[in-house]
Amino acid sequence: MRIIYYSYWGTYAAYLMASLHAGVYPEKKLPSPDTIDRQYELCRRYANQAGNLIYVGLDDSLREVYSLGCRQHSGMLIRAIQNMNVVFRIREPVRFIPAKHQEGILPGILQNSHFPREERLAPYWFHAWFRRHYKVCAAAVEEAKKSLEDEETKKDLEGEKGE
Amino acid sequence: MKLFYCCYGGAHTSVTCASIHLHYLPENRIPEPAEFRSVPFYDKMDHCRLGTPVYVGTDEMGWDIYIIGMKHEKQLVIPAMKSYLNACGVDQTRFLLADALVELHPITSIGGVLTRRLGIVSIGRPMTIWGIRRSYRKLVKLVQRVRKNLKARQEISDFS
Repeated sequence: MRIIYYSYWGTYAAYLMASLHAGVYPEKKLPSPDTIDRQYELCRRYANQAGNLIYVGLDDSLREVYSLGCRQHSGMLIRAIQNMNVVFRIREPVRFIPAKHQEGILPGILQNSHFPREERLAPYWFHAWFRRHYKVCAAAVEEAKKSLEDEETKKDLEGEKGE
Repeated sequence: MKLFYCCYGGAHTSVTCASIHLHYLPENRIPEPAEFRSVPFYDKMDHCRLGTPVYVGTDEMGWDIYIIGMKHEKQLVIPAMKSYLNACGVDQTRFLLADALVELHPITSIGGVLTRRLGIVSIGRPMTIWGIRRSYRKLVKLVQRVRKNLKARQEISDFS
């Protein structure tokens, strides 16, 4: 299975949640400031590249985890990607998990700020955003993981019944 | 091998191009309005199905022809499709995307909004047909270019 975390920007909440899911970021505590800086750099460079899947890693069940920036067209993108499985007969299912509720408005402000003053302040704002949203994102990832596990258990039970 | 004709709503230009490609519509003359109405999927794609590729048929070279509506978000949907297929290990030469959104008569766009957005089919559909008939030659040229491209690809793959 492939898991895609999606949001307006692919490098903020979606990437943060994907990193938590893949175990790149620790669940219980904040990652080091250097790690946060690395994500800030990623946002600066690639946040505007919407539509490109960003590979984050493998989770405990060896599922590939990605993040995706969709702008405001998530429905259309989800349909396009899901239907690629049908068109190209790709058997591995894909699961989309929304991250837009965890994003807030700061990423939009950061991405659209072009003034030198904001440019200087942007890393501090990003750190503040990261710290503020980390717990919420971790809780959402936990919930998503649980629902994925429930789904798999259900499938296994149905398979056993079928046999 | 898959060929996707993309346009704004997946209801008019892409359907017309796919129909020309599959010889449902003629290349040597402008079809009558009734011929457009008899084309499957013409003016049928709902707004909530945008992004969904719809299979129209298979051409003489064996390419499966699909239509897909992307609004004005080609720069978003195409990278998403390509990067996903890349992640799935699908060879990029197995598919081709053709932009069917040529310079259209504004009446087609107005008709499209009336039918697909407002549901006024009785007025909108004839308007789209009227507009598409005015741009029909451009669409035929586009399909001919696409076919030439497909043939060249086939020759290259046969040669290698």
